[in-house]
Amino acid sequence: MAIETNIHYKILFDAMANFSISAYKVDRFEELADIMARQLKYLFNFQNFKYFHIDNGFFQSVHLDQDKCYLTEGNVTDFEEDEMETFQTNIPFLRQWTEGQENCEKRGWKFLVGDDSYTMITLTSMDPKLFTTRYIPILRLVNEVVSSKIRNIKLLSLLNTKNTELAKATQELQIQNKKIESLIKEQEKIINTRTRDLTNSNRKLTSLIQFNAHQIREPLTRILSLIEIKNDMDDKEFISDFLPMIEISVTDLDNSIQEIIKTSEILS
Amino acid sequence: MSNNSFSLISFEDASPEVQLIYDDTRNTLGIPFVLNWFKCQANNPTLLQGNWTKLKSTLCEGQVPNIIKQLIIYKVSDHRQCNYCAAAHKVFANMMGKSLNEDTSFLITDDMDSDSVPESYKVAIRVVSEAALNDGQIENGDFEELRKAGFTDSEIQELFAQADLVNMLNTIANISGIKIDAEIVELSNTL
Repeated sequence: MAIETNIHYKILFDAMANFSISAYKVDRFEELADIMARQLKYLFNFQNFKYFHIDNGFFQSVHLDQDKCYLTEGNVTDFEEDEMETFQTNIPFLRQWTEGQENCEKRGWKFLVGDDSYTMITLTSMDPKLFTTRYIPILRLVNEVVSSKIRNIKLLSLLNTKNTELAKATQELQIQNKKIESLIKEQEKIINTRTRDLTNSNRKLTSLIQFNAHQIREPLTRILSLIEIKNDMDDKEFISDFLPMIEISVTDLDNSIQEIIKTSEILS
Repeated sequence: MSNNSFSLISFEDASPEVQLIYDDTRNTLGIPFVLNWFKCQANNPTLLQGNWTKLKSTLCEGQVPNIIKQLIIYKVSDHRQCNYCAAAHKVFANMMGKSLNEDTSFLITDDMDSDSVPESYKVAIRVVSEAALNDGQIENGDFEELRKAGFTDSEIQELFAQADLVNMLNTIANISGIKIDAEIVELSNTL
């Protein structure tokens, strides 16, 4: 058996090397399936070949039927009866029958390829392209190559998804930053306008206070001066000569106060 | 050129242009010597370059495993009794995967019908060899048989190109009267 297996490797070495190299170069599941469709015939006999990669109860599969290649996805509950039995028991299956003069068989294997990942291979063959046990080591090698590549593709896909999400988040962040920058600019504009208005108001207020002080101070000074004189003269003279002047000054003071109140009302 | 044969140009006596082609043949075929099949064409570098390019792109490159092509060329050459090509391609076919093999008694060329050879190899070798031996005359079902064995149209073209190539290889080897390379004899003794 060991000799036969070695002979087998000797014949298939070139094809196996080509298969591994081709699979190594692809980065999409569809491309890998295309390589399987073209190159598996150089490695073992089959009429119908199914390859399932199973993760958490869901599978991706490559189905080769004569010269057709189908890619499907589904749930393990979609497995055929014999496939399901091997999936549940981990025991390879072999079913043999005859069609006319030809021997036919269907085989299936399940392999653990990761913590929670499995692969399952089923194939149907018949005379003269019968799959014999001596092809099993090659089949295992094919499984290693394909499952490693699929895990690699899935990781790359995950990485790409994360990168896309990150790029989207960055883009969103940039949009929000621009909005914030625009809001800040708007706020700055408002603050500047308000500051300018406030400064203007302050200036006006200062000048108003100065004006008001002058307007009040002048009649008030007159009144104070007239009252000051009162001690140096008699009451008659004061009443006749200065009281009218005080009255005029008080009226001026009242007018000034009225004026200030009016201006304040306009400013407020 | 001697009577009824082409003279052989060794690497040392070859022009720089021919030396470059010689180097390419050694690199591509993975052998440390220049085959007499090339040496006998070195008097005409243009033809040598053209024939080497055809051999390289037909036999050494492409999608079909090299061992299938080597076995086709061996089978046709052996049938036609082109001793040079049969000996050379027998060695090349049996060298394939040598590093993985512990059993030195088995020769692929001696047992092409073995169960160890996948059916696609057998179909390709049988159909293309017959096409080469019948001057390209093929049966109606030949294309269908190749397709049924899983070959694509591109691979079928590549396979039939071997029928064309082996005719060129045999013709040049026979006309030139070249002898089997000493290195080939030595290699065949180690298989």
